[in-house]
Amino acid sequence: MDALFRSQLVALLPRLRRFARGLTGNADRADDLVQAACERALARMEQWTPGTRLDSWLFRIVRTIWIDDLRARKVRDRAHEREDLSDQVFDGERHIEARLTMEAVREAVSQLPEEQRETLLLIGVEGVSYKEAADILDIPIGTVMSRLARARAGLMRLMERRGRGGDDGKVVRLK
Amino acid sequence: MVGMQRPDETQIMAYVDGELDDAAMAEIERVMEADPDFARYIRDLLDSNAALRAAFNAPMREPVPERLLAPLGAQRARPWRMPSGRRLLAMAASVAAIVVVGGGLALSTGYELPYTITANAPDAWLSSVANYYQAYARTAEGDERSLVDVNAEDVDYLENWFGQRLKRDVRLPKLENQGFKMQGGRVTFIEGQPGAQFFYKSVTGDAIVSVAIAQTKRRDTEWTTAKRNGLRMIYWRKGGYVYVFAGDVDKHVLHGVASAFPDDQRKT
Repeated sequence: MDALFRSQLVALLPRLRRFARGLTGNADRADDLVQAACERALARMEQWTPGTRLDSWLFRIVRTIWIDDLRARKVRDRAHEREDLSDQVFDGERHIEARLTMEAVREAVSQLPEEQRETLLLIGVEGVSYKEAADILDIPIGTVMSRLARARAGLMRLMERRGRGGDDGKVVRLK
Repeated sequence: MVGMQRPDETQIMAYVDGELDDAAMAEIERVMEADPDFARYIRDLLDSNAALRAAFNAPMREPVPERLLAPLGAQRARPWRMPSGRRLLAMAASVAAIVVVGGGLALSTGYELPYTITANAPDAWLSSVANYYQAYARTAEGDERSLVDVNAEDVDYLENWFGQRLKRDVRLPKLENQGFKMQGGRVTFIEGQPGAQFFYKSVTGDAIVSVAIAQTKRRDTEWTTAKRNGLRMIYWRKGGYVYVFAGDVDKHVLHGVASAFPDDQRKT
């Protein structure tokens, strides 16, 4: 059990890092979060039921630690601690336009309210089903869908606003 | 658009995410055909979904830091090379069971929805494959590398990478004779089971086909043709796996590509 669990956990590390980076907007903090989640997962290994989705279980742990961390730091209402991740996404100087677009998407996502961001990341990036997202976030599936709809509308609005060159670089937090 | 009502936002979201049942999916596609503005809105949503995934996909290509691997007793992986003379890996690994949610989900709280959402809606997975194909195809002039988890620069590594995730031997279809070159692949879920979707581009650069392979619990089926969002598709199930081909190409081209699939994985 231990060896199998660990090997499956290793295989999931890239996805956990991706989810954590989307939540935190910061590569180092994301890895801190994943590290804490792995430690908790190992400590509570017996709570996971073999045959059920390990990734969902781990996403739930990552998300719980992140929310606890936010509460502890009382940064829920502050802007994200973001960094320019563009060099980690593209090699060299190719696709500058695409890189700017990717940067704009990350910027827009970082401005979404926390509950919309985590829903959007789980479904839009991690590809989990609505039912799995509802289980991970511990909310009804209808709430998942309404948060998702608001997140996507907000994302498109922010991207359009950026496309028009608005906001003068100010961080806008959506409700 | 006469006599047709635009679906509400939650229906639209469920369509974009491939979570609608067939009837609801078909209804939305009827509205799309009748309402170009609505169809454009759906395409924008699909594009933004693709951009979202691309924007956050970097960790899938980065090496995992040692500080995360060490506590798990793992080391950083090195590119894998297939032993000469062997085309298939013998990988003994237990299959991680995936919970398949059966039937429709009861919406006990929140919204009253006029349709059923199913985690494994019959053939909703086809739309998921089609949607990602279309997202990929639309970025073909940009950075499609961002839309795949693994690039095709090392096919051996790619086969091993996906084989480990599918818990099976993976032999990627070689489609050079059909004029298509491998671009890369991504992990996905089809019929509630883990799978991989690969993308090929024609040597002339003007056509893309995708090949998806996943485990399935459904019984073997014959070669079946389908269309999603106007995209031509062919799929079949054999021996616990489902194979899906999709392409915005002439049907003879897609049939030719599907026919070229390795003999042991061909249709029944």
